[in-house]
Amino acid sequence: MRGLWRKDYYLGRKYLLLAAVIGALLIFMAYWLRLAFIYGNLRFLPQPDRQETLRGLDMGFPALPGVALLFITIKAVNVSVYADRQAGWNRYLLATPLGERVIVRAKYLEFIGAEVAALALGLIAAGVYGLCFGFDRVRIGCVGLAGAFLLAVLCECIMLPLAYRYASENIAVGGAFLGMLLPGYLTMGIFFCDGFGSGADSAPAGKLVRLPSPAALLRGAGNDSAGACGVLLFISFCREKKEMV
Amino acid sequence: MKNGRKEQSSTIPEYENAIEIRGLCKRYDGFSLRDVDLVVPRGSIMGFVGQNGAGKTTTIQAVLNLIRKEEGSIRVLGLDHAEQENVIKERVAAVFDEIPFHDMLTPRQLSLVLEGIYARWQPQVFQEYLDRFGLPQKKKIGQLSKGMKMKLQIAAALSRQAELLIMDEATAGLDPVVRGEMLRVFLEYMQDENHSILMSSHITSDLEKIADSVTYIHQGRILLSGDKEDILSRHGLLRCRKVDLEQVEPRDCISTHRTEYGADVLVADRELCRRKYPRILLEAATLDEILLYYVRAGEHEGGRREWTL
Repeated sequence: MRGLWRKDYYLGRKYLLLAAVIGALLIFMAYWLRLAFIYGNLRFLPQPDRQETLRGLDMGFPALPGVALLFITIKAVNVSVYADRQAGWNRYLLATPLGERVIVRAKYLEFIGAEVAALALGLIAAGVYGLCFGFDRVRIGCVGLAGAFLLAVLCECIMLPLAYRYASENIAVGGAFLGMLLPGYLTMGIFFCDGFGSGADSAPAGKLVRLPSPAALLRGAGNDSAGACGVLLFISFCREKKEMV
Repeated sequence: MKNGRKEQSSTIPEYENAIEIRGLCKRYDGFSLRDVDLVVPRGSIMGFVGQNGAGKTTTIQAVLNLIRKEEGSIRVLGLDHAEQENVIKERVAAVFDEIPFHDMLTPRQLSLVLEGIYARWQPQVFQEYLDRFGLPQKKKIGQLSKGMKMKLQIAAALSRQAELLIMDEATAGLDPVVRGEMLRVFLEYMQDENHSILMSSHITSDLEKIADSVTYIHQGRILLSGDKEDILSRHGLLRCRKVDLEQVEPRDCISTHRTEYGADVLVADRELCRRKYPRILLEAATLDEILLYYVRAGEHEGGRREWTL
């Protein structure tokens, strides 16, 4: 297995660099914005906007580098699968003494290890932020980061077999969307929403989230795009599911 | 234990044949391997010849257990090719027609990768081959020429202490100088009498130089198999004028190539035909010609099996 990991390391170094750059940028932005609330122009924001903005910043930004790392890792692992196919490496690998199980197991272990490392780095970054500015709100961001970790692992459990089976990356992404994100969104709505409302920002008491109505969801510009992407991915999945590796 | 991998239990018994294929069958849409029998004796080079699409690659993939056979048996190094797959693959090196290495890797990185895959990897031997073939260590594989990439693949195959080399069109697309160099390397590899090579190619001139035995395959069936020198000595071409052709008995003809001035007839018993037809010019046939005439014989059954270009 070590040879396989080495190969992916050599091929994926640019993603490590990308992750480092994005992570550093997000950390920089988090600290820059936070310091602006203390020493910069943002300290002049009127209440309650200042409180709300600061709360959102403390919850979201420290966790963002970790979330970015998690999903860059997914990209790096999936790209390695497509690169292997393009190079003809899989055929060569099957002629080695490793065996199919070891080859696939190595990929999953590599992914899990990379995701755990990304989670650890994200938690460290959030922890340092918490040390500087207080842990209370950062804690929620860390919970979100842990949720993103679970989501990333579950998505990859769907995407990785599809990446091996089909030559198109769209199928893997579409499969994760249809198999994970969409049901997850609907499940969240069923269990945590007290009904579709007008889309107010704050959730009612006792509920975690409030989902906008389906009409509002589809009307929203961002949601229109998400809906279109979902449809396009579904069409791509149906068209390309017969594509042979 | 090497490189963190325990070498597979090397309980390989003594074996007579490096590869034994009996009755191999594999069906695809529009093509099938039928009753393929092939034996590569230990310590020999077998040339596996056939047109494009004849079944060479399918046979090799079956030997390597990259595809599942439907009927027949395959033994490699005396072991069942499926049950002892991992043990066999530790001792068998495959060289494919297309380079299977990532363009972004360098030969040096490739050595480190393969060291983590093969328990018997020899980095110093690999380095020696890189130096011998003039391959730069730190240049990306994608920047190498096709000939250099093939040399790299062959260097990787020879650096594993493999007892059996299986090459699928490894020299196709290479210029004659590089091919000659590779053939010399293969002959050096064969200086160890425990080493064997199965080499598929449609460049029969290469096989005439180094092969000990030859097997012809056409449309999934074995046409002819045996010792190369025996095949070459047994077969001949009768260069007939039109009037001479009437004398040649159809049962002596493998197939007949009609020309403007007469006909060329491939015969399977040169000595017999030399005595039977003393007035007709009889020449030795090359492996290429033997393959061509056997293929045409299959396409034109009946009578003299005559054909024209």
